[in-house]
Amino acid sequence: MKDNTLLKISLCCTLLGILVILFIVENSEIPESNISNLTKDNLGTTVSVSGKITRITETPGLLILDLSDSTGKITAIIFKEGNMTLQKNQIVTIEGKLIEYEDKLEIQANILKIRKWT
Amino acid sequence: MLFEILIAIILGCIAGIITGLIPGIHINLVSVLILSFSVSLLEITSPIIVSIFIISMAITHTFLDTIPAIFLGAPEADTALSILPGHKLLSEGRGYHAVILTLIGSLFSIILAIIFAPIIAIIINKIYPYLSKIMGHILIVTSIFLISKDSKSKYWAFIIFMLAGVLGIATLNFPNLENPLFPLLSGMFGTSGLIISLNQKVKIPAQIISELKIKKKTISQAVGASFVAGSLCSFMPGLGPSQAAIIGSQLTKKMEREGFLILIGGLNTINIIMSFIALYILDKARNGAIITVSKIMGSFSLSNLILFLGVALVVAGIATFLTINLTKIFSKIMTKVNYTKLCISIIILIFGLTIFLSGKYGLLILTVSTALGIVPPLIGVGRNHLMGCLLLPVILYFI
Repeated sequence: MKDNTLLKISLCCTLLGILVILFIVENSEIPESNISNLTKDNLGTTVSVSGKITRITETPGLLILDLSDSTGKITAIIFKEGNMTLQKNQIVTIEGKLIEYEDKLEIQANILKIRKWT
Repeated sequence: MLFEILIAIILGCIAGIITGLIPGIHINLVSVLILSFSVSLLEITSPIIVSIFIISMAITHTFLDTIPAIFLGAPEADTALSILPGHKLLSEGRGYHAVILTLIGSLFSIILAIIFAPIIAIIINKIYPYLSKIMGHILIVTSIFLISKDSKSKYWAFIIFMLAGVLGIATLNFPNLENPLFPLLSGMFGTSGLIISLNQKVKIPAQIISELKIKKKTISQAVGASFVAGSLCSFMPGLGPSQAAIIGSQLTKKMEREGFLILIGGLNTINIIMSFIALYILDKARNGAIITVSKIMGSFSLSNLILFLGVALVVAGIATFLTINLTKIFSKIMTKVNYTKLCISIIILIFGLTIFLSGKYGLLILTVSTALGIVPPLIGVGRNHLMGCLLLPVILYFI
């Protein structure tokens, strides 16, 4: 194959491939899990859980939320961005990476959706 | 304790031979695997011994990884720039000299880095707090500098940098993709080079094994540039040995290809030594091997730093002996093996490892990154712009 043909094929594959990957990243939905189903086997993966905020702890750069659903409790940490109007007893869905901190599971949240205001 | 240290060094060197010679296996990947087995390992030995094993493996790896880069045309991100001058020497039958030049760089740089470690530590401790505040801007300026220094086409260099950057961001954000860097970097720097070699029907001439004649001035200039650029870039996230090589080559007026290979070899190794200093001074782990060491060790004291630098020096001596002898073996067998079949086998190996480590979506990333990795050599721009895949996400994180 001529180098020029290989170059054209590579450029087309690159552009098309990047678009496909971006489409998958934008449209992939993480299936929602019950809190009790999250174990150390899921460490490092992106998870999604819904639950009620039972406590909010604020630090200069972080919000630490205690979440609970009918199956259990978990802590989620969120980096502050702009004005965040979170309150106790709100129902939220959190998507983020499952990490371990001081031997306990935590979610490092990327996305937070408020489901219900109470 | 001394016996355990010796065993850890020997086992680390053996592991380093395997990881260094197999194309596509980056030391970061092996370190992550060791971390996952660390609980079992720590039941039979201490964190220091496991760390010495990792360090021995990492140092040996950085000495040996130029052999597949030069002889097979299958570099990692860290050795990508050695391909062009290395392959030219290989096509002249001087593949042995090409590897020995990188070996000179590795050996002298490691000695220089250990001698100047206390001074580097003091300087970095003083200036890093100021640098960290403007890290994003420093990385932007460095990226513009690297793009503007491309001698063939600045526009294509920019396009490659941005495409790699977008691909890097998408890959790092890909939901639940394990080991995302493996398919990304293996495609850009491994399989792409092998496909070009296959397409161009590369034939390796008989290799000469003879004493290398090189001016002392070339060695001192290249090692000096390697030390300065390597020290600077080791403390900057996203900047690897390839970027440091471009900066380092600007420090000397006119660098010959021999000097450039010494520079690449030196930068690859100096990165590991400076990472120890960064871990001790800044409590920041700058590469996979050091991240694993920091997690296994928990805390990192001055006596640990001194011990690990001593181990690095011992391993450098062993790795020098290994590199010389393994390169001689490679020089003899390379002309006898079917290069086409060898390239295809390595591509199949990388695809197999991708499925094993990253699953079906890893294959998608590998295919796209391979396609992108083919573009720079065919256009004639530097492969180092592909490092936009790490630089752009890091810049966006900082600003």
